[in-house]
Amino acid sequence: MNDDKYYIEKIKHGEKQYFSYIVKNYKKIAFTLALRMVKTRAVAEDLTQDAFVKIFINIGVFDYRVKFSTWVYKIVYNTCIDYIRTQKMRFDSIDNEHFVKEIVFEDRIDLDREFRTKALQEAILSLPGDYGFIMTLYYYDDMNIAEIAEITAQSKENVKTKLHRGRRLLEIELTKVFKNEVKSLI
Amino acid sequence: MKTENEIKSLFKSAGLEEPSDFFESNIMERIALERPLLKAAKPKPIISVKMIIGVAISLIVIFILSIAIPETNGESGRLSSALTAIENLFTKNYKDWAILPIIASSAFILLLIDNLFNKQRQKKFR
Repeated sequence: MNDDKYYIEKIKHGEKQYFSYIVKNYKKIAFTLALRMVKTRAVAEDLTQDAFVKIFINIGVFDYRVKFSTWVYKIVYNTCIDYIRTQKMRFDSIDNEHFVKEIVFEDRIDLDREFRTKALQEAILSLPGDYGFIMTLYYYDDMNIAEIAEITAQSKENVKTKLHRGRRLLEIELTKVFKNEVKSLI
Repeated sequence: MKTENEIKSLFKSAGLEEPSDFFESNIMERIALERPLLKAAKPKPIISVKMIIGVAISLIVIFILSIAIPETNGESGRLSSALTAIENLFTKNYKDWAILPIIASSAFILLLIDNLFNKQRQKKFR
């Protein structure tokens, strides 16, 4: 965060080139969160880029009242939500079911590391709505429920419910892919 | 899935997704055309600290002067002397120096009123 502050102040004083640090530092998590919201790589990449441009334009008004990462995730979340609203995208996409089936037909016997990672990522990706986003913040980024509620503008109870349902759905998805190997996977 | 820690390790092992190679350069190209917004200036309060200080100083000066002037036209000192000074102004006795703080404080009050009107006008045009 202190490093962030140094670069934020530089950018605020017009030194644009320091924004590449912010991009480097947050691009993976921002892209992952966007992808787990919109489910399509190309769209997620465009939206993440849009979010970064918004971050750059508004960095002058960022006042450190919240963590910079929280602010970044909030912008990513809102950018994705705006897109979903305009596209009237259905959260429970048929395409995701199709993708999970594709994995099943791949070589199920040789579960090497790369395949496992890919399968895990796709299982997370198949979670409906913002479940993947919320679960990533909670389980990957170690954010607490209050912070996630702040980012997604939802109540703490709602976030807890989504985490609970998300866990169950993830288990179902992983069982589909790995059958009896789910336990060994985790 | 049994525990929270197990799910946590599941998410950690899934890792993060990697955007394309041009991702970063695309963003830097786009921001080259943009400018960060500056923090919006706080609107000036209708009654500023400067004005309050100005009015307070002139009131103190009036008070001190009214004590300093013992008697005018047979009346006892203090504030009555300031009132007498106003009276003297109309009776063409301009040499009474007690009138100065009164003029100063009047000017401040006028400024205050002017400022209030300006604020109202700005609100109308927004």
